[in-house]
Amino acid sequence: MQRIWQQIVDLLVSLNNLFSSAKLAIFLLIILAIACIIGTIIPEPELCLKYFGKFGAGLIDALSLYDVYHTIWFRWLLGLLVLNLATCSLKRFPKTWRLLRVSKKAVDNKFLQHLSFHKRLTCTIPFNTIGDKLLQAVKKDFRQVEVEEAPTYYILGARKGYLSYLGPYIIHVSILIILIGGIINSKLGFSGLMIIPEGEVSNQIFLRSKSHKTVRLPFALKCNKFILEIYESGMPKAYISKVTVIDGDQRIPKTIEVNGPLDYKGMRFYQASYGIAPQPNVVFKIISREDKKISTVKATFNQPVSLPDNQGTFKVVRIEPNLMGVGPAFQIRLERSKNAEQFWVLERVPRFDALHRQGKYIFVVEDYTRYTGLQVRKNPGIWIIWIGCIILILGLVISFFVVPQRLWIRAEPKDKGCRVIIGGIAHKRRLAFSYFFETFIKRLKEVIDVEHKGP
Amino acid sequence: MWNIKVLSYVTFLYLICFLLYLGVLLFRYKNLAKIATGFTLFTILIHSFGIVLRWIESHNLGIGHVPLSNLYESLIFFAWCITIIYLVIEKKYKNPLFGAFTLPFSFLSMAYASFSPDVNSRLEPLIPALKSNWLIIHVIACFLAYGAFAVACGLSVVYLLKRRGGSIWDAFPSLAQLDYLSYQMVTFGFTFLSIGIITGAVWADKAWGSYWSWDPKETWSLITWFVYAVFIHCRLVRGWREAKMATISIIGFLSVLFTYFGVSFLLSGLHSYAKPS
Repeated sequence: MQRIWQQIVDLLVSLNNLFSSAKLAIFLLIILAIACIIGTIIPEPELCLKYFGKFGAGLIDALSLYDVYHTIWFRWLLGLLVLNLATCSLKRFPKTWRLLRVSKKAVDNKFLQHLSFHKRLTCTIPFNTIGDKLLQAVKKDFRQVEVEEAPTYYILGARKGYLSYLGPYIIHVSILIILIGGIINSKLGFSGLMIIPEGEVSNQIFLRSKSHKTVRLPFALKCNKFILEIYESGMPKAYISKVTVIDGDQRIPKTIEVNGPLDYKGMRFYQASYGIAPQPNVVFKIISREDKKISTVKATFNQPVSLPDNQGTFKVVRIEPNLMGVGPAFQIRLERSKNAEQFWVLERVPRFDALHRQGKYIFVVEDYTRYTGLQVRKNPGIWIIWIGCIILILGLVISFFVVPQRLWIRAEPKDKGCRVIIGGIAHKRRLAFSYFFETFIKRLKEVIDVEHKGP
Repeated sequence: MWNIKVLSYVTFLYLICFLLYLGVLLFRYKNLAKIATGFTLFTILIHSFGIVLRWIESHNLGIGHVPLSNLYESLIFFAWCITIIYLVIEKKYKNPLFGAFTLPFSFLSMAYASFSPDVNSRLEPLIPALKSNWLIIHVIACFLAYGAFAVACGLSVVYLLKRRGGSIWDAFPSLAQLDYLSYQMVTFGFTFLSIGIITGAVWADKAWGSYWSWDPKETWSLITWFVYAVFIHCRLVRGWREAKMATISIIGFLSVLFTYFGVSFLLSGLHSYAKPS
């Protein structure tokens, strides 16, 4: 019985050792990197079938490699990394904490001489007054100073930048915070699309998930106008939706554009897409071939409108958002006396109708009602993520750019003056420290009246 | 468009810089080293002038934007970052011998930008998604990181070559110093890469409504981040040094190169601005 118990304890100890080892962290980081690489290079399912055959494509599908980042096993990897990160940090923290707290050491001449930076000086100042002078000199650069006094020696210990040792813990905590924010977003948040034709009101969101669910908002948006601005070269300049938020009795006019989303009641609305409204009003310029007279006529989808000369009607019977790659197209059915004809009018090729069709009137599309496509997001954890990010950057700066430094000075009476030994340690950035050490000695020499330089 | 002309001359200046530093490496004349440094300072001045000129010219065309928005402009800025980081290191460590190993990166980046038919150097208006101040911080942070990783890679190459022996390497810093310096560069790059990824996320959140969407560029920057995280952990926790570290640093830079070029050319995603036109 006791042996089984012992075995369980051993197992737990070895598990703990495994999870708190940096080896596992490195291993997991490498595996995650490889998983991400696979995620970016696996092509579309159709291409996989071509490249890897039926078996290969089946294998890829079974491991759901088409969408690595949302698979269970990728989440398990992240979970393991979090566990590893936490146990590693917890295991090492007490040691670091002791390092931060304890600073006393037996500071004798032998210890100082073994430091990588040390210097001996002899000065004429009497031993009983040297303490204050040393303290003054050190306090300029170091805030934490400890002093030990005795009849035969005076020891001063100073340090700074020890916060740097906490840096890695700050980074690890920040990564946990960011992941917590991500989990909150994926559990409590949602993302969907809202389609609102110009002039209409909607509060319905189509969720971006496999179930194709919809969500109804407690308030609604009205799209007043969708504006597409274009540069002279034909490139898009701006996509802008002028909307009104209708919340109870409130009517709040707002503008949504790319890089300028609308925030309302914890939700964010982004300009995502646009297109022809499902039942658009189309404004045509109708040009008479005989007298070149131009009239502007508005036609509602599928409703006949009379022609300028009142001898017949036309109506828009079909809309294509992108007919054969030439952009939006409207099919018109024209009825004059007993003849009827059907033809396409293209928005991007205004002269198309004039070139391809005979008849009294030439049709040119001038404008039509569009819909605006808004992406809607609720990310309750987003601020947690941003706070985590700020902490991450702080942690990185503290770890890599704050340099822990220590300095000791030991003074002993010699003849009528003193003998002074200065020693220092820097665990990182030795070069910067050596420069600091040199200038410090120079300044100290001026303060304490050096008469003779030691080796 | 004067800026394009100026910047294409800068490419040749970089070639001269590289040749001068190569001369310094081979012949070790002190005066030549001074000439090389002076000439590089002159080059970076003209280079900066070219970038500012491009900025001004874009404003004159009425489509003003900070020149950090397409592949051409990013390559120009990449070369600028590498050279600046190199000059800082040369001044700090008073050793002009690395020039022959880092300036080729500047030259190649400039040459690729100026002479490849794949890279469009025309000034064009920005598409709506790129109109954001976060873009500027994002790009600057990313390229400072890439520049630091490039320098770290150069140092690691020197390290591996020096380890194999040969008197030509005597004047370089000791192996331990090279190792340390390359680590310093990686920590600098890692910090800026993190800032770059985060500012990119903030920007994506504003522009596309999603702070992280596993777009290939994002994913590859994360992969690069993982590689350098492994580098830092191997060194600080496992106590690895020297050849193994140098190898990881080179792998890291290959990952940087893939993030920068490979993704744009081979994989499709949101960062289409960086595509050859």
